[in-house]
Amino acid sequence: MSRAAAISAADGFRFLVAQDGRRLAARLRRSSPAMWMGVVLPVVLLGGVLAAVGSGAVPDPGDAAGGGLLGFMAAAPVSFFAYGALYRGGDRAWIHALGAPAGAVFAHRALRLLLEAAVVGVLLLIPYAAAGISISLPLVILAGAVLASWSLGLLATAGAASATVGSGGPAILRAGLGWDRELARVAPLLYAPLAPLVGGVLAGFWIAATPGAGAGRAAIVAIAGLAILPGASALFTRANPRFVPRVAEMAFEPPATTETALLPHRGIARLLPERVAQVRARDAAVAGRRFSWAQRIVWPVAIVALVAIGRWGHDPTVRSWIVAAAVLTLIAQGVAGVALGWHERHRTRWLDRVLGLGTGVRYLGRWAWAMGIHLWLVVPLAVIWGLWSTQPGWWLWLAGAAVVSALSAGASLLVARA
Amino acid sequence: MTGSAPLMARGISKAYRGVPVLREVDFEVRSGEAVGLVGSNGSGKSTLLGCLTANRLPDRGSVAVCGHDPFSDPGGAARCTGFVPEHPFLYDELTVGEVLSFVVGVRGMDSEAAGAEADRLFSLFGLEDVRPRYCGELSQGMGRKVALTLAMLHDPEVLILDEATNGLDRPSVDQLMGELERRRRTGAAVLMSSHDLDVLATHCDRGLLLEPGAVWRMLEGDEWEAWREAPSLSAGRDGPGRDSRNESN
Repeated sequence: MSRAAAISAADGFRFLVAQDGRRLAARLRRSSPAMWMGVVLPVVLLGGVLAAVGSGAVPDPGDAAGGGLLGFMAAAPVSFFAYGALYRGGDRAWIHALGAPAGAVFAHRALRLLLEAAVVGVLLLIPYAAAGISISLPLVILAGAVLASWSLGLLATAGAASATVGSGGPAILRAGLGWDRELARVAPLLYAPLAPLVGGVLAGFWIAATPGAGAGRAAIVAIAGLAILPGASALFTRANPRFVPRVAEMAFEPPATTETALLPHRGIARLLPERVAQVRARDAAVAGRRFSWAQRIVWPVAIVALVAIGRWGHDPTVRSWIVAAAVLTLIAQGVAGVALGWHERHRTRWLDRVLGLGTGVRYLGRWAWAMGIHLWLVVPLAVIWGLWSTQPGWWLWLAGAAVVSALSAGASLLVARA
Repeated sequence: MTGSAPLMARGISKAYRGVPVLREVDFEVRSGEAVGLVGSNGSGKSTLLGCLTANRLPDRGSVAVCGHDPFSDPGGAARCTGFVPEHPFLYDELTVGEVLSFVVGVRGMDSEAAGAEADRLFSLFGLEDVRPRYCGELSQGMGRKVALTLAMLHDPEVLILDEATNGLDRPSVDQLMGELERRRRTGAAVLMSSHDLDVLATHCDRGLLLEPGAVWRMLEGDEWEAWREAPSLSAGRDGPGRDSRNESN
């Protein structure tokens, strides 16, 4: 009968890592401009921005508060990457169906998250290096913060997954989400990033508090982080059989109950030619539902930036921070545009072809959508910059948005193989 | 029901956002038997197959594959199951040979024996030269044949095929059915869905009919023979077969 046999977690891990290696090598062998635009360009742009703003973009690592803030900057993205690293991926269900040992899958996903966390750490070192500041202390703080948030992220996310397949977690977590039963059911997952975030901040704070003992403290954090991994792996293994199918179900979105038609002639979109306006409205609807975060991230950045300019706009450091935050937001929105291209490539590109929508129309429509979401950020910033910061060049905000949207729309169509 | 059936489902219920799709579905597929899963679009076929293969979490009920619960012993269930979903996953950027070596490794199979079996199946499906081709370059039918090969490679006791004949030309369907017949003779249990009702009528021993509203009917014996005469997706109360839900309640 069946010729399949159980394999060890170590063997499974080896196969999964080798598979990743083969996929990466194949992608590099067959790399295209679209891949470089979609994957490498955002990283290069981000690195360039961080190098350009220099030490103004990062805190002074010489005191505990600065260390804590640096820990926060490292831990925040790692905390939010944890769920994706553990549970997302097109091959998730297939690997599960093949019967790969859950311990192997956990180790493989943990390695992926560690690599992502390392990229975050390296990016945060760029401003120090660009400003000619020694990177030894920031490196130690970042290593500790990254390892703390990595290990706690794995533990908290696996624990949250385990809770959702059980009782749904502590009642106190569900209490604030009671209006939506589906949301309340996954409450532990929504709160899971808090633990690694706090852990990263505390690690950075603790390591920077005594810079002379920083390396030793970072080593202690690393050992503690490694010590909790078996627990995280056990939680992952316990939750996996029932949580993997739930992941697919959580991605299910109920049918829309409000809009029944696109609204192509809203606001300044009235100025667009008819077909361009239709493409813009379609792209806005698809991206608005699939990448809704691209619009939501504007509000916290805009509000904080407006307050900061109004209160401390004369301070060059504050202005540097605001520029960095706004540029990062624009890049993040640009990434959503590129992601829209990826989505289109595998699904809906055929529709535009049969409708006879040429590349020019599609480009203008996508640019108009991208510019539209940028405007929600740059218009208030430009107004307040011109009024309160005492700095000239308010129009640069609009020009910057136009450039980013032009680039992201182009990259999006390249990725979609338009 | 016999306790030794390789595939058993007991009281499977599943709802999406409060809308029931499956209600108390209870059936088994015995060794050497083929059961056809029949139903219109959205009747819950893929959901049921997902519940059997641990790709969907049933709200209630239990599943046993060769005695293993896929939710508490996923490794044991995976070792004796071959599953091809409606949209089989293949890594676009890898060659068929590379995916094959990965599957052989993760399934803990002897690579020489698995390679020989893969060659036999590729040859059967007319894919002799497919190993160096990238999965992303395969046609829908070729991709399905590769997925079928990967699913049958380890001689599973249970074969579950969702939309088994999608994208396959007629000769390929015949080859597939011949291969399933051969495996059934050695004791494999087959559960498959297809919109090609003639294929199900010809090659299955019993049928599980899913109807909208989470109603299911097991068609067997004379009822199955009657259904085979005039295959239909929507056999009503006055049609052949009996409402197993009402019977079980």
